Amino acid sequence: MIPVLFGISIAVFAIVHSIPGDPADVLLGQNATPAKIKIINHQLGIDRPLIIQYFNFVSDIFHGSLGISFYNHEPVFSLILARLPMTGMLLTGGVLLSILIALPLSILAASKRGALRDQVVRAIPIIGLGMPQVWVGVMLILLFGLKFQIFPVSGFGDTFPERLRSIFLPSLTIAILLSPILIRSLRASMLEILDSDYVLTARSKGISTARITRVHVLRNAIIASVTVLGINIAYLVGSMVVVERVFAMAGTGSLMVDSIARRDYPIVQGVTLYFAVVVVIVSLITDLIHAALDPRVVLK
Amino acid sequence: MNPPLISVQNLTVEIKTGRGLLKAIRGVSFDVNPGDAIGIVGESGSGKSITLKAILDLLPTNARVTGGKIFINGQDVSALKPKARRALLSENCAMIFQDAIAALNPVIKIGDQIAEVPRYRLGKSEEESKNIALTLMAKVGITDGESRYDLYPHQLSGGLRQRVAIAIALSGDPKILFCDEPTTALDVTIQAQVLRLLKELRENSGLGIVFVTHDLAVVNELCDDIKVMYAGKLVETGTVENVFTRPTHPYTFSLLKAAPDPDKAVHRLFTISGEAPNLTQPVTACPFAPRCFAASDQCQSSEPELLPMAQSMSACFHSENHVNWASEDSQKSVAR
Amino acid sequence: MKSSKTLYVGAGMLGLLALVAIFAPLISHYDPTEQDLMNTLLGPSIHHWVGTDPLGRDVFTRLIYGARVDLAIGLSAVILPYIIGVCLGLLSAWKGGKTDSFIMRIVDTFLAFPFYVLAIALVFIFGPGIKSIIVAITLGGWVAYCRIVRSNVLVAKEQDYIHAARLTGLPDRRILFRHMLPNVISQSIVFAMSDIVLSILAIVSLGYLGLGVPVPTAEWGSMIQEGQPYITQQWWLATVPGLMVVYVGLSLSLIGDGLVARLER
Repeated sequence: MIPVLFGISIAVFAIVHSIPGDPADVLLGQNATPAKIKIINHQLGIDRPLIIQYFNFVSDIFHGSLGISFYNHEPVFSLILARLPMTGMLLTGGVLLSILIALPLSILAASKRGALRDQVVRAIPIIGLGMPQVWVGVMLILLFGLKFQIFPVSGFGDTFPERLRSIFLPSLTIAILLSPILIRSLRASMLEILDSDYVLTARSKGISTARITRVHVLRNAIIASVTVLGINIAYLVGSMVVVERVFAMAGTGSLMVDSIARRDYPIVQGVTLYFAVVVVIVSLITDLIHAALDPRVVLK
Repeated sequence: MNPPLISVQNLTVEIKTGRGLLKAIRGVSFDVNPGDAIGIVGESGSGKSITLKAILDLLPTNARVTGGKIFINGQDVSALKPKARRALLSENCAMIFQDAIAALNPVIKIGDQIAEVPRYRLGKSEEESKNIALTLMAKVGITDGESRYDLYPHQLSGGLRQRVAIAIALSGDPKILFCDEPTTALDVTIQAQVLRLLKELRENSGLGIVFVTHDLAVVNELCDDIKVMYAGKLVETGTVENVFTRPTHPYTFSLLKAAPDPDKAVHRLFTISGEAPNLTQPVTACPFAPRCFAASDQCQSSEPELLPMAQSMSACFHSENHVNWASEDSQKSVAR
Repeated sequence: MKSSKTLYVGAGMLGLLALVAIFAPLISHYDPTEQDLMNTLLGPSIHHWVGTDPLGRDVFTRLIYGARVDLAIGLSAVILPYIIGVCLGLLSAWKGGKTDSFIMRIVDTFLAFPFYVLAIALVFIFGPGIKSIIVAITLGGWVAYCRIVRSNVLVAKEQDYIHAARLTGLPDRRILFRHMLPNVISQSIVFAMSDIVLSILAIVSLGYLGLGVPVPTAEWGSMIQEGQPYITQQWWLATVPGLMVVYVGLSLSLIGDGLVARLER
């Protein structure tokens, strides 16, 4: 994990420093004079050697400082922090919904291999993997938000129940994108589990089918889901950026997109770093959950 | 007289494969009575494991019983609803598998897996179930059960895992234990320990055993009766003593010849040159004929039936002649 | 048999769309970018099969011209990551040791960046446009090929035919590209099919965000974005471009499945 974080910091630093043009130009706009640019560059530390700049960048991160937004002069750190609950709720909602969709379908498909229901479930990934994230979102808005008017189609709300309601359609969008990936792997794992000798053992013991499914199959299936999710975290987090935009939620992704036109590079830098760290942390959480569920996994 | 505990009559099983419908079992019949110790022997693909799974209603989804009947205590199981069939089966039979690590659920504590039947099938209290599990662990030779109760399968050695699997099998108090090569994956000393355990269980509690293997030495050690299976049919059956001393089917003969000395505990995979027939095609000749030293034109015309001989039963046109095989076979070998 | 059928159906579907895209000017006499402010937001009719958009442009024409952009960039964008990923995967697994762990550290780092975040950051550097899309897909895409090829090589390395080739004293380069590559490449080709879908999805998403192919070029993603405000009345404006992507995704999935079945035989 440490080498990855080190790599991330270098990558983010490199991205920001390969931006053509002078940040001072952007800051000063029309008022730019060579003298003023020099002062600004000194304030920003851009006139120092790259390696020093990198160390300053890293030490700033450790002090919880990601710079000040060029646009509205707020600290980037607190801008991002304010959006943390949204990221958390979207991720949790998306993951839970996708498991709720994918797991029963996979069990249904695998329990009768080759039957019609299996064929139908197998078609889901073939079609689902080709659906653009934004389009799924727009379609859900069309269906649930406008035709049936059950859920709000934009914004995030202020109270927790409101937020829970407004998070539903974006989470469902993420779940619809994630489910095909889950189903593809889960159906295969389910077939393996249902054909395994330990399920045969349980059956030969005369344990009821309901208990076999609940105890012997489900737990192993959830472990398989967690593994698949673990591999696709970056995809999941990335989709969030786009989905936020579709539902006009003022999240971190939107913050980043908006900052591009404003050439607000502290924000772009901060948010890029933020998302990479989110991926690393969620991976860690996945590993912890995996270890808690699967006694064979030992955390180092 | 009571009906046999299990009676298999003319069982046929088909498996759907990529290359067509495979007739894995082509009419197998035998009875099992309480206290029996039967060894079913054959090379891989002969259908011995499928026979077990068909009896126990554990066939994989691509396999299906297509004919014959199975009776348990005289009751036709195919006439029963799945639930009643399962109840009848698990009341009388249990099974242990070749690969114990695969047969144990990796994420459930071994103690809980042993206690599952008392708790959830027999409806005992949690406390009682745990005690039953601990007693079973002691019975199968797992010492220090109290502290091992909470371990997971991957934390045990291969021999202990198979003991856990046996404890699970015994937890429903079955009359017959079906064993699908439970010692093949173990090394020789552990193998001997597990066999000794099975023998003790049989002698002390009258547990019947049906033991599927390709290891003749194991059959010799553990069983009273032997059934030799080839290409989905029984080709020779009889007592271990008779069949081992006077084989009346060339396949059995070759097996015994290929195996070193069944009396010694040398366990080796036997090999007979040639391959078993492709069972997706109809069988019109004796399926063993291409590999048989005694084959004649008659063997190409039709498939022999399993018929009673003086001491055993054999499916061979030439079994009358078995006393001369030793010399015939050696001549052929020299000629080759 | 059945697998070839899947392959042919998929290839046929994709080929049909490609032909339509290539001969777009013959199929439609409208200009995909020419505005007609007298005829905005028309419903589907004989003259405008899928109606017109808020600027009076013929939607059908924009859809088939959009296929040019999305298909062409989607297909060509996977070439570079494919080459880079396969080469680094081969190198990593073949050399092992420090080279391997160094490349794997880089891979881990790239895996931590969600693709869209990386893409948006790159758009920030290079400005919106095709160049940024290609660079983003290359930077985000090589990792998967690298990992696939690496794991295949690690297995193949221990095979006897490779041992035999090494014993003959052939130079590494020949063993790698002549003996190893043909045996380890199939899985990466299958993955490339789904990767093309992913890169088209990326173009569409970036287009939607206004960071992709600049307007007014017809492109499915920006068409979805332009259609979203009219979703209550002219619902097809945002729906149909998405269906085009699903169609492409379906055809490539079928090709991929057909290839898998063929390679497994």
